[in-house]
Amino acid sequence: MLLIARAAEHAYAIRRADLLEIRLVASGQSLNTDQHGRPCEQVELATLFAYSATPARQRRALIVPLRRRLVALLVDEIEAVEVATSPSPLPELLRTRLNPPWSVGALLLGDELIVQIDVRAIAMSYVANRASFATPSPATGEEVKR
Amino acid sequence: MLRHMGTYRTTAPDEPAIESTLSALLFQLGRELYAIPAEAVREIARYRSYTPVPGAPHTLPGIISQRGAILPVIELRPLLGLPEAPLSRAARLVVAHVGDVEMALIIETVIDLIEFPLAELTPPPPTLTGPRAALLRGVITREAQPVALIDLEALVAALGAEG
Repeated sequence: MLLIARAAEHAYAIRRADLLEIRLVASGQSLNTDQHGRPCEQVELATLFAYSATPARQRRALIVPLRRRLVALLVDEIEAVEVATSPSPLPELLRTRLNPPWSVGALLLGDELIVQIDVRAIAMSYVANRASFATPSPATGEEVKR
Repeated sequence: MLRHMGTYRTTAPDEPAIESTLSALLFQLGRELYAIPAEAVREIARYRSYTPVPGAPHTLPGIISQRGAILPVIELRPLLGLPEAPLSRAARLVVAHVGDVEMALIIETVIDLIEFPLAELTPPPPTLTGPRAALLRGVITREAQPVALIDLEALVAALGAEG
């Protein structure tokens, strides 16, 4: 199944199978750890793509499981879609020049051409290079309800 | 569909050498005139916003869907060392190909289809150096204005290499 995530007025297709879960998060809320004690880091997806994140009261957190931690990619909206065909690969001229190689395909949904992104690659890249990404300041103290 | 319009004259042994011409699509970027070989052009479409692709270089920033095919969009200005500029309603997407590679070039103003003798094509001026010079096949003069003929193969090779 594919999900369509929207962040800063851009839409991205994501494989549901790449996510542990999807959570609703209040603006400024911090996702500290999961039930197994794994730390959860959060970052606005729009920020990683060099867009300004859209301020909103609530964010949708796409929880990506890595080996020792979780990464929550925050987006504006998320919806599930049924698609008749799988996303197509990006044109080779573009695909071989991506840096970082986070975009893996594209699909046409109605009139909208949507890029498919690899959230695991994004999460791993964020963890490896987090010092170079701007992150939101979470509110202090509030426990995440499980 | 634009087709190559090279013309050739057969000659008798005592007549001057064969003259050949090149058909090219003439367009404008800012105040400068450029051209690409007409045989490389598949279609000219009205400009519409492309879908940005995360991680794409700024010369190859996104994709469009055109007649069922997903094409990469090329920004010529940064490749040619020109500053950014807003697009007007005259902007077009020129779908072109280099071998099997198809792409959509963002063009500010398409002017005309021109034909000129290849003998009039002169090398780029020696004062033109750097990456931009490598993208030009030569220069012709049209109505007292220089027109730079872009080498599309060199352009494709330069994509993503400019950093």
